[in-house]
Amino acid sequence: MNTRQTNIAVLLAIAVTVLATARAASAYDTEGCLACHQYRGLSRISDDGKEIELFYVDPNYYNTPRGPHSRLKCTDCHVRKEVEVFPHQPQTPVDCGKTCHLDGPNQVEVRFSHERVNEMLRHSVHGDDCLTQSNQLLGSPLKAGQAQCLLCHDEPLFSRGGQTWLQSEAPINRCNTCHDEQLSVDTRQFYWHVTARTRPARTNEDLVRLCAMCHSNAAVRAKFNMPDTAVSYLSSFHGKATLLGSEETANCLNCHAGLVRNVHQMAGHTDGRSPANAANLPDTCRQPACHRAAGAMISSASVHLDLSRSRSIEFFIACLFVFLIVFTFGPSLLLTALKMLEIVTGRKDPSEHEHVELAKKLLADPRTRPKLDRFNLHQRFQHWVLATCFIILVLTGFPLKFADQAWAAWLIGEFGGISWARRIHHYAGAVLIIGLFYHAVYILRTLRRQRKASGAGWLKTLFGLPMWVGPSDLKQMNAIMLYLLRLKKEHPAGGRFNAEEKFEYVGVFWGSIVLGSTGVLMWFNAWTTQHLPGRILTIAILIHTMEAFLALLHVGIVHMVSVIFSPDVFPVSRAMFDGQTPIAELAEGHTAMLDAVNGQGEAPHA
Amino acid sequence: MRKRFHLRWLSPRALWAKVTGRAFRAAIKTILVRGYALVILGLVLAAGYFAVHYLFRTVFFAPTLPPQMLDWAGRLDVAALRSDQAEGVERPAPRAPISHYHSVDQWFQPDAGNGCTLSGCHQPLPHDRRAKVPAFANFHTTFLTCQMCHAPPGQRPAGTRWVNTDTDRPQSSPAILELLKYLELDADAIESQPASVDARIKDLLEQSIRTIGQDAVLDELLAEIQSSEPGSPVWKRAVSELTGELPLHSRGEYRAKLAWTAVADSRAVQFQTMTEQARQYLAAAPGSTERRDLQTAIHGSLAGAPTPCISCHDDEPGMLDFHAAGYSPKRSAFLSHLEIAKLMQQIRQGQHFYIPNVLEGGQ
Repeated sequence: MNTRQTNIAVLLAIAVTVLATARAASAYDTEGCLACHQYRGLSRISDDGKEIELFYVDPNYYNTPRGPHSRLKCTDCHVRKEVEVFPHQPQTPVDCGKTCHLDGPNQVEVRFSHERVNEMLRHSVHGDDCLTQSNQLLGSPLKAGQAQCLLCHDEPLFSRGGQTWLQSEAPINRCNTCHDEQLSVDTRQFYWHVTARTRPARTNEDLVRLCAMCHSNAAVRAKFNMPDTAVSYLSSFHGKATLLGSEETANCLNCHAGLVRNVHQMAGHTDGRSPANAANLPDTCRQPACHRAAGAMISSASVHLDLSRSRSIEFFIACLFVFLIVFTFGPSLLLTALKMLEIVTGRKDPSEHEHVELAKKLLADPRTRPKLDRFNLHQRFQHWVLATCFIILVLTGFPLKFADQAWAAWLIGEFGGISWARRIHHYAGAVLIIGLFYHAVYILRTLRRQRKASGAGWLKTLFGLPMWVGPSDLKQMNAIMLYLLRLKKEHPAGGRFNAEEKFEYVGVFWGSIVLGSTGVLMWFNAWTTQHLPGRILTIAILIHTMEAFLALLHVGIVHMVSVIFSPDVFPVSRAMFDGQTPIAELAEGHTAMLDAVNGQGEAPHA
Repeated sequence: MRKRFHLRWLSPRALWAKVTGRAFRAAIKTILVRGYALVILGLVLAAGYFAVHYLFRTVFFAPTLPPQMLDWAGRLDVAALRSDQAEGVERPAPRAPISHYHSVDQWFQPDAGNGCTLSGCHQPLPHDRRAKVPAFANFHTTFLTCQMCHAPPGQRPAGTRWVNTDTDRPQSSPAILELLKYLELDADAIESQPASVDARIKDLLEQSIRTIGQDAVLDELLAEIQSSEPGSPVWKRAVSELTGELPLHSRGEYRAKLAWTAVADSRAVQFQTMTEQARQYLAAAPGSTERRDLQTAIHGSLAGAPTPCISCHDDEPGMLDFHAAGYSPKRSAFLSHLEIAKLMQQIRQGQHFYIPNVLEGGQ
C-alpha cells in the first residue's frame, strides 16, 4: 500500500468511524461533513509552506442551527466532486454568485443566488476593481479566486450584534406553547433569519474595525487618495461613543449607506446618490433615529475633522487654547513645583518663624480666632456644591476624551453606559451653571451690603471686594515668583485671599462660563442647529474639551497639591471644612491678614 | 498611700522618645517631610509633562487608530505561529481571520511553551504538510504536548498532568472537563436536588468561560442559570442545553495541554534549556559534530517513531488513563476503545476496508 492509498484509507476510516461514534452531525448537517470538520485545530500547512489551512467549521453553525447558511448543504457551495473523495481534491473557491437550492417548507426547493448583490456592488463605490486592489494592498488576505464578499463578510452567527439566541427564541417558545405540532421545523430558522436582519449583524465597534481595515490602511489610502476617515470618525463624538460601547450612536453605515438603503449600493460622498453627499447630508443627519429635530444646518458639523492637518478655524482655536493652557497652567505648575522645591531644600522666609508664632497665639486667643476664619459656612457650601459637580463632570466627561483607554470604557460602564453618563453629565452641568448664577447673586448682595456699610460708590466697593483681582495682585504674583526663584529674600505678604487664590477664583469663573455656554450649545444641539451653523457644534465641542482639560489640570494638579498633598496641609486643609486655615499656610501666604488681625485686637500680640 | 504603678514608659511612643533625642527626632521628621515633598515635586513635574505632551500630540500630530481597532487579522501565516508575540494574535481567541469563513471566532494561537516550533526547527503545525491526513494528527496538538506521542513513558498507564499554555505550569483538570464530568456523574442530583448542585455548576461554568474567552452561547446559558431558580423549567432547560453545548468546546479550548507527569513539573525549565540548545544548534556549522551532538541532546528523550494510536485508544491497559486525566466515565470509556484507532492499526498492517456513499447522510 503506497502513501497515497494509506492516506485515503485513513481518511475514509476516520470519516466513517467518527460518523458512527462521535457526537457529530446534526439533522441539518445532512452530508455528515461535521463529523470531521467539527474538530478545533483540524489544520495543516499549505503546500506552499506559508499559510495555515484551517478545516474547522464551527459546529454551532449547524447544530443550533444559527448560521445564515446553515440550511444549505456543504455541496451547495463547494463542488461536490471535489469533496466527496478523500483526501478532498484541490478546492475551487466558492462563488457566492452561484445559484443554490434551498429546501423550503414542505421540502419545496427554492433557487437562490447572491448575483443581484454582486450587481449592486459593481455599481457602488466599492465596485470595479476596488476590492481586488484593496485585497492586494492589504497583503492578499483573500486567496486567488476567493469571493470578495469575504473581505467584509465574516460568518456572523445570529448571536452577534447584541442579539442573544436564547432571548430571541422566546417568541418561538410562546408559539410552541399551543402550536408545537403545527409549527414547521423551518419556522425557527425563518424567524431567526428575519429577526437577525432587523438588527445590525455587527456591533458598532466591529463595523468600524471592518471599515478601518481599508480606510485606515496607508497603502489603500494612498492608492485611492483617501484621508484616514476611520481615525477622524473615532476622534468625533460618534466615534468616541462607539469606542465606549454605544450601539445607539451613528456608525459608518448610518451616514454612508443610510438607514433605509442597501449597503451594497453605497456611493462615494461626491455622488449625488450618497446620503453623505452635501445635498443629502441635512436629511441624513435628521434621520428619525438620529437628530430628528435638528435644523438643516447641522450638516456643517464635522464628523471627520482631522485637527492636525486642517488649517481651519478649529485648528486656530485649538492653537489658542494650547497657548492659553501653556501660559496659564504653565506658571501655576512652575509655582507649585518651586514651592515643593523650597521644602525639599529647607529654605524658609526669614519672618516665617515669627508669623508661625503669631498665628499660634491668635488662634489660641478666643477673641482673635474667629477673625482668622477665611470662609464662612455659606461660602464653604458653595465650594462643595462646585466640587461635587466638578468631580461628577470629570468622571462622566473625561472618558469621552480618552475613549480609546480601557479605563474609560470601564468607567462609562459603571455609570450604566454612555447614555446615562451623558444624562448625568448634563444634569451636573446644569447644577454648576445654576451655582454660577447663585454665586453671581451672592456677589451682588455682598456688594450692596458693603456699599451700604462704607457709603462708597459701586465701582469702589467692587474693587474693594476681597476676591477682586487688581494690579497689586499681579505685582504680588511677580514677587512670589521672584521669591521662589531666589531673586527676592522675603515672601510677599498676602491678605485673606492671596494672589494665587484670586487667580484660581477667576479661572473658575472663566471656566464655568466657557464650559457652561458650550455645554448648553451641545446639549440643545437641535435648537443650536436651527439657529446657528452646525459648525458651531464642532467648535463648541473643541472649546469644551480644551477648557475642561485646562480645568482638570489646574484643579487636579495645582489645587490638589495646595489643599491636600502639600506637606504644609497634609492630609488635607481644613479651610473648607471649618474655615480654619492651617498655621503653616497662614504664616506663608496670609501674613498681611495675620498682621491686620493682630493690629485690630484689643491686646495685640507682640 | 500606695503609689500606682505606671506602664506608660512601655508604650512605643514613650520608648521612642527615650531612645532618641529631640535632635534625632527633628532630623527624622525633616527627612520625611523633604522626601515626601520631593516625591510630590516629581509627580507634579511628570503630570505636567504628560499633560502638555498629550495636548501637543492631539493638536499638532495626526491621531492613529486605537490599538483595539487593529486586531482585524489579515491572514493566518506560518510565521505568525512561530512568534509568541505575533502582531494581531496577542489577544486570546480573537475572531477568525479573513478567508476562513466557517471558523467562526476561531483563531489559532502560537504555542508559547512549544520550543520545538518556536525555535524554527519544526513547523508550528508539526505534522507533514504534503497530505491532508496530518490535519487529524494536528488537532491533537491543541490539547497534547509533543511528548505525549513522541516520548512515551515506560509503564502503563502513565500519570498525566495538565499544563497551562499561558504559564507553562501544571494545573488541575480544565474546568470544561470538570463540568462535563460533573453533569454526567451528578445527573441524578441535578434532577432531584438542583439547589445542591447549582452553585457548583455556576462556578465551573464561569471558570470555563474565563478559559474559553467570550462565547455568546455559554454567556447566555450562564445568565439563564444565574437568573433562574434551581430546578425551574428555565434552569433545567439551560442545564440541558449546557450538556449539549459543552462538548463543542472540549476539543482544544482548554488553554491547557496534557503532559506526562514526569515532564509536566519541569516543562518551563525544559523549555528554557531546549531553547538555548536550539539557539546553539542553529548557530553551529551545518554538518559539524557540535550540531549533531546538540541534536542528539535535544531529541534524547524521544522515541524513534511516534506511539501508535491504539496505545491510548485501544490497548489494555492503555498508555493514557483518561479518567485520571479528568475525562468523564462515558468519555473515558469511549476514548479508551476508539474504533478509529483500531482501523488505523489495521491500515498500518496493510488491511483494506470499504465505505460506500459516505456523503449520503453517513450511510
